[in-house]
Amino acid sequence: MRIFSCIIFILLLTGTSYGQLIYPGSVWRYYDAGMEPPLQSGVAWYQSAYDASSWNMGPAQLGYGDGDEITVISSATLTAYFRQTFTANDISDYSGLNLQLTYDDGAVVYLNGVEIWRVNMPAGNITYNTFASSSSGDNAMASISLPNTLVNGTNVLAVEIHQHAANSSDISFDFSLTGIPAAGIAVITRGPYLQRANDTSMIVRWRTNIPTPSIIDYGPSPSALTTSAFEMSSVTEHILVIDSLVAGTLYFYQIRNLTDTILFPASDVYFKTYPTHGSATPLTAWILGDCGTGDNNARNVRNAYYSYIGTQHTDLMMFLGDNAYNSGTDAEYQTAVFQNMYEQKLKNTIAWSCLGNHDGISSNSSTQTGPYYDMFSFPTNGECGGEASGTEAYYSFDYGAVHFIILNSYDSDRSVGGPMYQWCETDLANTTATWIVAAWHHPAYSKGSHDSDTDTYMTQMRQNFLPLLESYGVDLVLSGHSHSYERTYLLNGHYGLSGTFNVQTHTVGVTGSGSGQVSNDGAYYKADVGPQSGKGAVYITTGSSGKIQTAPLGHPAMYYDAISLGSCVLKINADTLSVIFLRQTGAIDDQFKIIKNPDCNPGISCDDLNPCTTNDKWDNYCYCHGVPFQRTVTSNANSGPGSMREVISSACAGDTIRFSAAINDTLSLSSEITIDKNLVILGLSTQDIVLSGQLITRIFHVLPMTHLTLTNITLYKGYQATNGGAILNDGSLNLEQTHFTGNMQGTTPKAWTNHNQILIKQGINYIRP
Amino acid sequence: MNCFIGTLLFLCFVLSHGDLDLRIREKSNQIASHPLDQDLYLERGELYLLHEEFLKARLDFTFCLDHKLVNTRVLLGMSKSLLYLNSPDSAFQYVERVLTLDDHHLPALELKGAILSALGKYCDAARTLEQLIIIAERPSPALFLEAANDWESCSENGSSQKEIQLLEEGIRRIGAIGVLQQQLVSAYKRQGKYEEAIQILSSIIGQSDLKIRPYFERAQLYIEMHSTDKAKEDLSKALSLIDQLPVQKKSLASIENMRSEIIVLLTELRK
Repeated sequence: MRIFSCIIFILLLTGTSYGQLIYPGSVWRYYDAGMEPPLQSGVAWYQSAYDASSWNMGPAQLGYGDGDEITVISSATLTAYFRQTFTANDISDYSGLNLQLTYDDGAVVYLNGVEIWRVNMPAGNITYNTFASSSSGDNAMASISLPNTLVNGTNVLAVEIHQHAANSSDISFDFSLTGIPAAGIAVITRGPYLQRANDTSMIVRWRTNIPTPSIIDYGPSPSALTTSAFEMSSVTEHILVIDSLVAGTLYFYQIRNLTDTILFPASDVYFKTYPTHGSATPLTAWILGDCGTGDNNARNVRNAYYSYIGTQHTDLMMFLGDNAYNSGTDAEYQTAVFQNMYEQKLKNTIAWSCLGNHDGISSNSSTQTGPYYDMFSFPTNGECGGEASGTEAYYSFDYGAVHFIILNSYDSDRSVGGPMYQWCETDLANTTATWIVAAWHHPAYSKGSHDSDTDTYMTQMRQNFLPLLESYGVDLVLSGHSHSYERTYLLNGHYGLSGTFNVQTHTVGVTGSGSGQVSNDGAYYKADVGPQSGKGAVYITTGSSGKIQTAPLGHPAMYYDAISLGSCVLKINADTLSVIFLRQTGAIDDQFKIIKNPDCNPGISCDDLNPCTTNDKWDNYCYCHGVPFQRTVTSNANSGPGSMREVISSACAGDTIRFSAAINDTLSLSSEITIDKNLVILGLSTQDIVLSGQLITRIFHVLPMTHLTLTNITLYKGYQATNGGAILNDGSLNLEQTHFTGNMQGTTPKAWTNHNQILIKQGINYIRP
Repeated sequence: MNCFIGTLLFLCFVLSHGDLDLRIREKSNQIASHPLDQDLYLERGELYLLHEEFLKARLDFTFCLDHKLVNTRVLLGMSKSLLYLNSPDSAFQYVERVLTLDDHHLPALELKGAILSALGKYCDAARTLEQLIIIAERPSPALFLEAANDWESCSENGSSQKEIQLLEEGIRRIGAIGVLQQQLVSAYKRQGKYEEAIQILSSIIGQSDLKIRPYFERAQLYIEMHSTDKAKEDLSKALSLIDQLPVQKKSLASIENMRSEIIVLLTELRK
């Protein structure tokens, strides 16, 4: 029943103009130890003075047994206890309270230690063992309006949820508390949210239930709001431009009108101006695609990011379109974005967006009308860096040395030479940013719930805009639309159907067809100079921040794809761009880095910090790498410089060891050589390399997980009493033109002892002995 | 039974948030239960339009009209369907009916402009879009450009001047937007008004003298006007701006191509 209830619940919230004091889905302390919480010096668990700091915490819905809980509590308890503290700054703002409860099976609600509501519970004294009056059904809902009994400052709401029988299989709990504004009292019903930021200005937007002037006091700390910005005309849709700010600076703020403060200063009520244009300031961006379901899927994705980022500041949120289902109406935006969703971040993080097809149902880009254009303030005149576009449908902005280009793939002309294309070309030509990130809704490559081989919008964006963007060195392209996560290799020049993709020709550099992961097969590298300058971009489809949808996936340009709920985190720091895909569980499913080394000079020597390579040089993609050392045995002594023992000891995994022409006698060993790394020991057919154990020692011991290839070698008189012969193989051994003569185990002739795998080359094939 | 209800509710949930094809299926199921409910046909027709299934959309809007549901949404949907089904004449009739009901209907005016353009009635298309531009509080640059293109294709006396006036109006209302300025430069060039075209390019340069392409384009105009020295000056300036670009910028193929073009022109001028 949860899904149905959830929809009803969302509908109930839609359009509310009350001040929200406790949001549904918010975090509660809970006690589920199978007994009533013990008294603390006579103070009961529901009283304000009770210290519940030792109780567990978790977001609603809390409970067990239905499988829909966000926080699962103990199933062994008959009654569960919940508490939440919240702040009411001026109780005269509210003429009454609205309470909404999700419960199973009965509940008693207390405000500041006083019982205010009883739902499906018997009259009289309530104890841990009191059962609910009847079975409520799953996720029952109830609501009530009550007089305002809040106190100024900290308030405590406490709820106990009771089973209706000892064998009841589930408990459910969620709660919301809203204040009904007193007549003439303004409360914020949307926001605040931050828009159109640059290094010296910021727009703060919010909505109130009644028209009021717009006043913001701001300053360096919550207790020093020394400057004010205001607009005295009375409006409900407040758009206040604050300018003359200092770049890269944190400002705390409060919102008020002429009579009341309606948002009080706090540690998380702040805005931060963008850094000076061109400065290499680190960037952290949260990327949300198709997040607009307004449900627990979206909230789980949100919560995963909040856990990941902790108290670290987020510089920008990027909405990739379809921010509010189904039609991008104002009411849908309220529940999908502004209320009980992203408000905690929106008040201190600058939000940007591109238009999705669902947003476009209620909004029109030609006339810039509709909810999307009414609620957002994006740059049209180059206010945030970049070329003036004259429209909020597509625009650009700078964050330090990062240039963002936002395109409209839905209802703007996508043709080559069209207004958006012309603007984009000029914008690209004029930016001098180190990094270029582009975003639009319809992905260029996807085999998710939308197919880029057949979808007109996706095809046109790929065919028309990718050549332009790539010619100006775009680094990263972000899209949504398909409800999955799909991430390409480092691509260049693939504009056709998926079947024409060639990983050899459409990826860039030595590492471009790999994972892009430093810990795996290396980051992606891009050159700032030389013949391959600017080539290579990663394309991400990340349209699963609100829902997922079954799809074939498997576009050949993808390094990684999955149908998982999640969002992306983009970080750029000087010469490194990194992205992670953060699943709603908190797991990081994918990650990669793009590196642009500023010291690169293609063809010139460098140091790849790999002791196993030599002749390190920057390649044309500014990837510094060398070639493996030539390892050559120059001495036939048992040990010492140039001996095989010394050469093997100093070799790196993967090396090939050869023999100099000067080796013309048997190499006699007095003890065995341990092979602890992958090696090839290569004699020439014209050489007659003989390794001898002199009937006193085994010649090689190949360790587990290790590979040795011997070519054109004769192993002679290897000896060991047990596990004998010339070789003890615990790893993997390939033998090519390798001969065994006079090898013994004790008194028995024996070539080798094998505990794993040996392959012998015959002709062009390997066979097992 | 519980499983059935669960499935149904899950389906409702998916459908309520789902993509177009799922929503169309949901609407079709509702129509199956209420086969005479015109509102359902209207809603499905609009979904068909979004899904680019224009024939099916037309059938739904036709049902509405046949069953006496005549409002701006139905008429606009019918008109759009017909336009995309290559019947602009019929589409025009329906969009006119929308405008009879509401002569300030912005989407209808935009659609009418597109229909007239498809019918080759460029002068009327331009006039319609101008009407839309006047009414709209925040017209996009694209509207001005479309209207300007229609004036360019219009063969009436004075249409060229109207094109220029419209673009100037666009710049006045929206700001000095590059695409409008470029279109204005093209319009002036077509009319042989090189001085005016140069003036626009000079104003672009005045806004930011770090942009390379306006110098390059102004040089090309100077060449056409046989002002070789000024052309050389602009080309040299463009070259020096390229040289001043950060290394990651000037190494890009697109910038190197521009540099090559400039050098070719400059070399020819110096001969």
